[in-house]
Amino acid sequence: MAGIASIPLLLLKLWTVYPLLFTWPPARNVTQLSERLFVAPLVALALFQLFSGLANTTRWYPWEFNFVVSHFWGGWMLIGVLFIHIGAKWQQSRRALRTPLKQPAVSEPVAAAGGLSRRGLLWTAGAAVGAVTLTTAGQTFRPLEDLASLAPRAPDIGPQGLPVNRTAGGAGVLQTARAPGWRLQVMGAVDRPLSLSLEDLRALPQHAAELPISCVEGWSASATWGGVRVRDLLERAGAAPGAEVVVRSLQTRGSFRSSELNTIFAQHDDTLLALDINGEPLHLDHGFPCRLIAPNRPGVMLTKWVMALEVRT
Amino acid sequence: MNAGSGEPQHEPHGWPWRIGLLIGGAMFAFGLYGLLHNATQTIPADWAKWIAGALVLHDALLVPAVLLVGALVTRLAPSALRSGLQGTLAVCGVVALMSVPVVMAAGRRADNPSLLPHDYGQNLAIVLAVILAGGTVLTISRAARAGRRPRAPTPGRSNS
Repeated sequence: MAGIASIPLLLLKLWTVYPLLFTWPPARNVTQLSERLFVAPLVALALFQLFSGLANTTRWYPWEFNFVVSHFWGGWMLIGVLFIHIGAKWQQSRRALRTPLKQPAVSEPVAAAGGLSRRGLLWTAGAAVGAVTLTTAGQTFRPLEDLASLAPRAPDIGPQGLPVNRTAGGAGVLQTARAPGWRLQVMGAVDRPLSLSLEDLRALPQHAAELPISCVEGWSASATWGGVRVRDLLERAGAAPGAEVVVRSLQTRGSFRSSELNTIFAQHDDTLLALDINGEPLHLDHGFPCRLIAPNRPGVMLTKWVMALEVRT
Repeated sequence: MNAGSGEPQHEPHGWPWRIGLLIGGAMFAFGLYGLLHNATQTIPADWAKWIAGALVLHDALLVPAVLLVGALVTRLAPSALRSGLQGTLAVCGVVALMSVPVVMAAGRRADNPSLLPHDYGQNLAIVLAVILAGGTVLTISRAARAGRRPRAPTPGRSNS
């Protein structure tokens, strides 16, 4: 959401400094030349990080590289050149902010003659940010749900009233998730490795938790989940109290086919291997036979189609 | 932007520049190292093509197009309506530009009806119509107010 709102601001900022691109001579000394040379990667990275992030929210990947990995490293590069730019402009900005304005920033006669005044420009930017925010924020902020006509998600559209990011078909688990021989393995650093069928899991004490799926792509939606506490399974298997857990999915590829639970997550009351969503068995696209659900974790770390809990100490 | 006459020209120097160069340079280098180190996933040649493409598209196409439209409005629209019209068009432009991914909906998948569930072409048309209507009302009411006001030195505004 903050990413979407910052796009109009970036465009406005670049538009106001665009004439400086044609300053002549391009630089008067080496320091100024090096400062200006860093502006190209700054602008290019800022534009592309925001554009590719926006495209990612619609799962549109017109390039060959892996989005997540490249976006991460590109982010480091962007913050780096931003630091350099701030350092270069620091004294100039301080001086400008200290100097009182010689005349009011707004003068309506000028505005009327030449077009948008400075204040008009700021109002325009504010209106643009407001427009793109109002039409998308409802995918995570329920009160604005009805206005979210341009959001890539609606928080209540999807199987069982909840959006899906990766489908069972997309994850390649259509067969394995429905296989009658499916069992959950609790293994690794445990006294008694467990192998549990879906019926075995249902026979264990069930707990409910009201938790959201919060996707890093900007949508979120809540549901009541029912299932077995991870803590109970660890106890049953005789894992050490401080154990950490790797949750493995049936997925055979993809960077999010497993996730890690540190001790705090593993021991939390609301960390469940969920079997139900709002009282119904999980839809295949929500991770049938069972999925991880826990508070304060991005959606990609709520592993679906779980096949094993691998315990580490 | 206001480079005041007689003032020394602004140049980066002093400790903020050096610290920024040090910290920012290290972060940039770390990012670049990560990008190149994971070349099988990041495909740096392809990535660089998109980065440079973004810059070229923005600087050589988008901004000149915006400037052209702005100049046309300045030339053709009556002066009282100019700023309101420019603001309205700018907001419409930003909303339309940012809606390209959802309207194209290239990421749609037959097995995932929860992704891109709306008719975005139609929704964009409605949103743009609302912005145009709001912008028109604001522009005209501003022009009407300005018209009622005496032209010459605006009283009650010059000193305070």
